[in-house]
Amino acid sequence: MSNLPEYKGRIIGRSISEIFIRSHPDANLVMGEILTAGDSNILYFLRVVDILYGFEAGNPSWALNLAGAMMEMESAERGFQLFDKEQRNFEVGKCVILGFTRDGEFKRAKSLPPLFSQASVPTIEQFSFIKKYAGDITVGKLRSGDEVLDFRVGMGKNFIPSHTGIFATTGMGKSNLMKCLASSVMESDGVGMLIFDPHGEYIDGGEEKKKGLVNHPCSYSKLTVFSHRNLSHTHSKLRLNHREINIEDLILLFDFSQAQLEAAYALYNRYGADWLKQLDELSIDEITEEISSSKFHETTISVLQRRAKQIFSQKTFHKDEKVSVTKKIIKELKLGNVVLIDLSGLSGWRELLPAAAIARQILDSYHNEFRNPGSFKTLPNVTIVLEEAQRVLGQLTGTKENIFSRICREGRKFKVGLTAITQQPKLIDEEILSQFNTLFILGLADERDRNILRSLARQDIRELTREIQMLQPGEALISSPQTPFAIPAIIDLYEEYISTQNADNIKSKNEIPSPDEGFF
Amino acid sequence: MRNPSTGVLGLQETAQLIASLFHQERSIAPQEPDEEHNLPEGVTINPDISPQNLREAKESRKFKLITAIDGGSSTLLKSAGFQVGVARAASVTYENLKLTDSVTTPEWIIPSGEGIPIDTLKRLSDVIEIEIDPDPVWKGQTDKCRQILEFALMNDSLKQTPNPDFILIDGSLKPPDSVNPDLFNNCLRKAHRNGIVIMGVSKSSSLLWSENCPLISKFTQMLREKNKGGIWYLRISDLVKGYSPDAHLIDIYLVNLYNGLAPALRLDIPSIYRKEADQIISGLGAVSIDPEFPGYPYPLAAAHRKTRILPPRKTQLAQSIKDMVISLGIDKQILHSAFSDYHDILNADVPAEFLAIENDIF
Ligand SMILES: Nc1ncnc2c1ncn2[C@@H]1O[C@H](COP(=O)(O)OP(=O)(O)O)[C@@H](O)[C@H]1O
Ligand SMILES: [Mg+2]
Repeated sequence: MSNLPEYKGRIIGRSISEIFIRSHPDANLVMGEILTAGDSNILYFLRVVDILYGFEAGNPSWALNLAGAMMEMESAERGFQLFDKEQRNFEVGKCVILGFTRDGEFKRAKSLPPLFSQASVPTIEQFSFIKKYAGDITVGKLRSGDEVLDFRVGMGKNFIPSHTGIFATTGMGKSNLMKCLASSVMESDGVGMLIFDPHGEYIDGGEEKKKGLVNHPCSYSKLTVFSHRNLSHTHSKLRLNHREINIEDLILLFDFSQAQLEAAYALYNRYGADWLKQLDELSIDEITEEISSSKFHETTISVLQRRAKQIFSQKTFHKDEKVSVTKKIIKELKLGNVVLIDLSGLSGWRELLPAAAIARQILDSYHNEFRNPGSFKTLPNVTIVLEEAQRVLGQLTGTKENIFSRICREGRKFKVGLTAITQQPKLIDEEILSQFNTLFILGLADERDRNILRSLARQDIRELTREIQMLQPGEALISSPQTPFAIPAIIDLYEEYISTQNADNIKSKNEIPSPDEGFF
Repeated sequence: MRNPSTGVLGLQETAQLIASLFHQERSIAPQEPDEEHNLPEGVTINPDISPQNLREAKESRKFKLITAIDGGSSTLLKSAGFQVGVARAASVTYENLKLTDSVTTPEWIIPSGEGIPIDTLKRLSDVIEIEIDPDPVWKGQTDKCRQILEFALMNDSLKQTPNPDFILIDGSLKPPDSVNPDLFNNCLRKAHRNGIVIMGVSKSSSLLWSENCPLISKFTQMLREKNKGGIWYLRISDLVKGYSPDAHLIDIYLVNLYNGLAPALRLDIPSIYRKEADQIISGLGAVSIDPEFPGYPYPLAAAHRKTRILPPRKTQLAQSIKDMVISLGIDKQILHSAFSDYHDILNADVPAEFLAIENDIF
């Protein structure tokens, strides 16, 4: 057997930003696959970003004429036979250079691989530079086109505070990826994760044959679940009190008129953190009396009051300031655990209000710790996972900032990141979008959604819109500041993944290196 | 001028004349072996060619191994006193419709002109180990070389193992101008002994129906009147009195290998196969079904593409020759003056693809 690597074609030019290869007659090019060219000294890495029909005929209507002749001959009794098919028509792959390796070091390419050089499938050893970029929160394996390679990939813990985006059309694997991310966080230390689950799918999978985070072998020690409803799994009741609700949160969720807003602030000035409780309990007359310094219409107050009553009709919200699980949530996060808040069955503000209230307090808490550099340093990074994130991160022009957009802008400094899941990245404010440093891009059917990613102009995403359109469920591109190019991955299927995991092998996976290792 | 006028004169008259030519009566074709019409020894064209003799090739025998040979030649440099051409040839072999072998000869550079010693043929004869007659005529040297290279490949093909079923030659089946006909005829006999059918396939034919009407047009007309798909052939030649069918005596056919889509071809087959014409022609039809060349044997098309010398290659070769002459001390300007053609400048405004038509590629 020859020990030449399997080679898929030869480079035929055209420029450093656009390289073409003519495929070998025996090879099939695959969208997104990674090929190498060059020698052991400088090995270029290319990604196939488009596949074209190729033929040697100089006449552009060659194929057109032939197709016509084929159909004509088919209808005659003898049919046709395309001789020397491989030589006469073949595939041409359009590639971009990802970079090159020299002495195992990966670099951006500023030079061209030689014309006509062989483009080959990389060996596992040639790919080993990827290890450095794979990240310590892994969610799947490296993929080249359709091939799965034995390298685990994911994102870096240290990028948790600089925000994460998970983008995919429904059915492409967002929820599965999220479960894999959460399970990887459970298996490692030093990262806290708070998940708001509006569909009740993360606890136990939500449907038959699916599994959830409670099925993970580490869930006993690493997972805490809160819910507003009764679950068959161990959980605590989700309880918040009126002092945890902030005018800022309400602005996000309700359409307030200017007058209503002013009235709310007036109430806040009068009652401080108890304003919402007072609004609920006092009569309209009493309230207008109490805040008579400014004149408010009765109906203004009564609209506000109706809101307050709606809020307190929710079992989650109490007017006893001693009732709250927020402290416990924050404590778990600071221990590097996963907190799952089941909000299923709630919709609109009923779902988002608890989320906003809790998220804000996490940011505040970390903000406070920041003043004490010693203890702040030891805090784990934390990320807040938000489904359908476009609801709160949309175009912000004119609207005031909300807690989630604030986390996007300020959280990084305080170790608080957002993990925004959406099927419509185009609806997210572009400036906020640019704050997401790690992107998990799964299949996106809508062209405008792909184009918005393109406008991020990060690495090679610009060239990848065609591939993104073709991604199968579970296939992803991972773009992060640490990686020199968007890493193609196949995300683990969570149910399969945990069936192979048990407490023992997870422990050995995270073995703390023995103290003398790397000591000198 | 009496009646100065723009416009086109004589259009109508010309069209009428041409139309009338297609109605000419059959007039007797030349009886003798004929240079102009590429008639080989002992062959004569039938005086009466009629639709009754049109045959459909139905009986199919499978032919596995087919070799096709074609040559390419071109003029590289042309001056008033001398010229330089280039020639080469290629053979390709297909087994069960798959390419299994291909040979291309080197490119031979051939200078020629009145009084210039003709030694390329001699050198050629040393390399290909075939005896070549000294040829006093300098004109057409390049073509002669091409024919000889084709013949050399044909000769080599006979030694192939396993033997091909068919050897297809581009053009008529007759000895190259500078080769002793006996050498060629021996080749045909040897082929027959080894069970190889050598055939000549001509894309164009100069044979005539009447004084001005091409025979091929008459054949096409007969096919159209038949109006039936399939593979059709018509033998148009016979042997001169005193000759009887043999491996080296040729029958000439007009064939249509894919009726409705295909051009009429002239086919030269040794007369010894006269009784098997049906099988042979349908076997040829079986490899004439490529959608790029319906009705033309694909292996010959492939051989043509292997051997043709395209303009970029011509330019390259011409430049190499000029560079060498300059390195021998001839002034560049003087050299250029020998080949420059003011038409190049007059026509410099025309895109290359329009001028390419003049650049015949054989
Ligand atoms: N990594 C994967 N490997 C294999 N199949 C997957 C993977 N991710 C998702 N799928 C398939 O796609 C389906 C939808 O996935 P899901 O995570 O619910 O998508 P989304 O949340 O984007 O709507 C899953 O039920 C599963 O069958
Ligand atoms: Mg989902």
